[in-house]
Amino acid sequence: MIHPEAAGLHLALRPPYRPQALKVSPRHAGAAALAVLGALGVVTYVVKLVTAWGDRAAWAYPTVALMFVLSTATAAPLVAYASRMAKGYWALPVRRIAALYAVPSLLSFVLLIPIMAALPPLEGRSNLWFGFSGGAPFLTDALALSILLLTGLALLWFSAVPDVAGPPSRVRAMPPLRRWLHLNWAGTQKQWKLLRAANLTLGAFYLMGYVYVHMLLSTDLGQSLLPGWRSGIFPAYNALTGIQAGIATILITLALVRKFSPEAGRFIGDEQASALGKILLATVLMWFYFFWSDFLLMWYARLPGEVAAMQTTVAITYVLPFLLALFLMLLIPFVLLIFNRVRQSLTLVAGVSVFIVAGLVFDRIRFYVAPMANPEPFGHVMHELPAPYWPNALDVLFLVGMIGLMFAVYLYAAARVPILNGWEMRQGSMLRKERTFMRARVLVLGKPD
Amino acid sequence: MQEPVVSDTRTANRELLDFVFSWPKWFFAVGGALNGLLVAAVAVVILMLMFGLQFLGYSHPVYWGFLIVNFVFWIGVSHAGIMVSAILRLTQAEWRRPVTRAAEVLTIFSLLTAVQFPLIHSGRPWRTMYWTFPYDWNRGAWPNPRSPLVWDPSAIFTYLTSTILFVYVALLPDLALARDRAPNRISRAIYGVLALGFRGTTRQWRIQAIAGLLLSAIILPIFVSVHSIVSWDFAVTTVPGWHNTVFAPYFVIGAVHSGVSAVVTVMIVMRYAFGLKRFIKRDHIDSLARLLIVVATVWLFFFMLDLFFGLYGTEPAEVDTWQRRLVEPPWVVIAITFIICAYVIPVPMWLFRGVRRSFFWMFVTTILVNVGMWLERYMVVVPALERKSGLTFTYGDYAPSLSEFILVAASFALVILGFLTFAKLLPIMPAADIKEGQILADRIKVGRANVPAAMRE
Repeated sequence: MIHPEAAGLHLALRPPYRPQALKVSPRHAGAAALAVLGALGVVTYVVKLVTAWGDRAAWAYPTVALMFVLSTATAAPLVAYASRMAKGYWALPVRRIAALYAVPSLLSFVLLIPIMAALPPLEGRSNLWFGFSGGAPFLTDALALSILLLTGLALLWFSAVPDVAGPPSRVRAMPPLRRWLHLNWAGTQKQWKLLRAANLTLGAFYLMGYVYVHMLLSTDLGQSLLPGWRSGIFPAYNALTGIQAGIATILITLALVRKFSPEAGRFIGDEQASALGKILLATVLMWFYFFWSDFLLMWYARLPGEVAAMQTTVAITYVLPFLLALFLMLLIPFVLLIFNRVRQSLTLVAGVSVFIVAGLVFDRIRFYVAPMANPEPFGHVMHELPAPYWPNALDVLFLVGMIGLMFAVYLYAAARVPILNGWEMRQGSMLRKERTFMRARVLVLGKPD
Repeated sequence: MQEPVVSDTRTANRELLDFVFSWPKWFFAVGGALNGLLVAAVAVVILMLMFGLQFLGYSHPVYWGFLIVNFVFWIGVSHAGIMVSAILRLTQAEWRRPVTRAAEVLTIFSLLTAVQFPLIHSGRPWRTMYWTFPYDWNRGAWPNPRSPLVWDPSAIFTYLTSTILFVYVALLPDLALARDRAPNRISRAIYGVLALGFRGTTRQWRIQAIAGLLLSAIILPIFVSVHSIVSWDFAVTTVPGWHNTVFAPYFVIGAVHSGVSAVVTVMIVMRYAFGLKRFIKRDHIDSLARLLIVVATVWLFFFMLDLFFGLYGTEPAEVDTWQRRLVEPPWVVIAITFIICAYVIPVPMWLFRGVRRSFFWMFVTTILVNVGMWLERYMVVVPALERKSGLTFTYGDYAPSLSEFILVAASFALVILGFLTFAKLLPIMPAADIKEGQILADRIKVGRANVPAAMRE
């Protein structure tokens, strides 16, 4: 038996949580830095729009930013959904923190539009559309992404209504539109049932949408621009590493919330670190599995197109980003996360997560800069390897600014919506009790059907 | 979901050991029929050894037929034990308790059955020694480590060894229980030796629990590697329709799909055949059905990736193979049947609670899944081989022979017979685990509801 404190007994014992948003002071150094970075992201985006519209190579690093947002902010809400489906009570204080990432994930849509405008026509290159002429890939990808983002927002909203609505008298006094948005919330049994069904259905929809969007974008912005690259596992690899980075992002956020928000922080402990740490370790191992499944086949079959793609993304052209990704996303996290002591400390596991998030940037560079900057995307085999396309100052500022903007938007959202899921935590505390077993104090968890 | 079996320890012990110490009449009838099938299969194999592989109907260009399909299928089913047992143990899923042993035993006998098929298929089984083991030091006949013929046995025997170890460690307390309740001295002596002196001291329990957890964690990479390596038998070649990087996870998740379905089927049969109605409840098959919904959907996703990225490059040979699989008869019928059996019928049905909790419907749907998954392997293996040469688009025909059907039926007989024999000799349900579940069970009162609960391990 593990120690009751580590098992999350504190959720049953501590005073109840009163839902409240994060208190953010603009004078705080971290908040100010994020605001500056966010502003930098907006400025560089506008500069790119004005100076490089339609220039595909110039949008190579913005594609990295897009895939970064898609792999962190868009992946994070999945933790809220999956833990709800699996009845993971350890995740009660994590769910809102994860779901709030639906707000900064909107940035991905803003980034997608100019990138799509820079894509070459589909004719003459491999693609997933097989002659479908309904606006593919521009309209289809934009539509798929927007549906995913709206689902994420709906998921956040549905799970937040009981916390933000307040008492029925307050809801009744609201203007009609606002009242409708608050689902006329009065906490009736019917409304709770509806809420539960909506959360589960939207969650399932979100998961499928997430995988589908990764499949589309990883192909349209990656594989299909590098002739000869044909890898069925690549979309799944993208989705998986997105989940890995999404969990890492949540862990970093949890550590920051615990440090800077004493009210919410007292509910975040080693239980969450331990559970998320185990999942993170599993995703790290799967990183290797998916990479190896891809690499082995290309290496073994020696087909010219596949070998050229492998040389571009792994061995020659972008070998440096590959090695950085390998160390930051696989080797360092694996070596550290196998220790229980690391996984059970939020501070340490958040530290490991920083490596993973940094590694993700390099991983996306090796996969998306090469195709976007490839001058000859047509045909079925690359006749010579594309030259490496390293970032200029504007690209670096863009990348840093966009990542900063993502976190700035998150902070803004967290300052407006209660950072912890009050109603679910109250529900969860009713299903936990402390008990003496032999001579030990243990946690008892109830799991209703 | 955590509703425990409520009975005293003595009654639980008696019920769980009932089949071990009794001899129902149906056991002999079923055993006899299964042995009959095995005798027929042995006759087929002997004839094949005499007349060569052509006796089974193999000729250019299709050399891989039912035998390899069966190999892949049984390796797939063998993934059930570890999926259900190791993963659920690590995630502390309370409902795993009555399910684990049957799943693990299914793994062992599926693996043992699976390895027969490459041996038979080699035509001259004794020659496999040349290919897999460095036996001949003097003549320098070394195996080729780049050949899947070396990878496969390495992975499968590692998996088999670790699974047997895994089952054995979990069996120790039950072997001790059987020793203490054995009706005669001989069986008491045998169970006593097998129990390795297990007396239930605190230290022994601690070591047994830690060993079980460690083995659960260690066995997971092996579990993934086995079917990945089987998939690479196909995918490392450049045969159109096989060379796809998604094959490894696609095979693994397909294996889990068919394996967990097989566990449900076996559980339901056990419930009635071994009189375990009090232990195998609707909650258990409900939980497994929920797991299956997720697994089946992920499997479908990987199948779609295989299809899309087969067509993606618009390479003529690849497109042609897929066209053969999905459009041309008789493959189109097989393709439609497998997708309907493996996904279209069962998964929508499992969305309904009534179906998930019905033994009859779960039995039917899980059988359907395995029919579908067998056909899926058939569709993966054969059409890709039917093309006569790399430069032409002419095809050879392949029709399974009666001998192959006999071997397929015998493979089912072998697994069932192995399972029955195990259940006759050892407790097929982990008595110690179930009793631990009863001790850890509790209830929490929320309003007027009395919610089942469990102490956190």
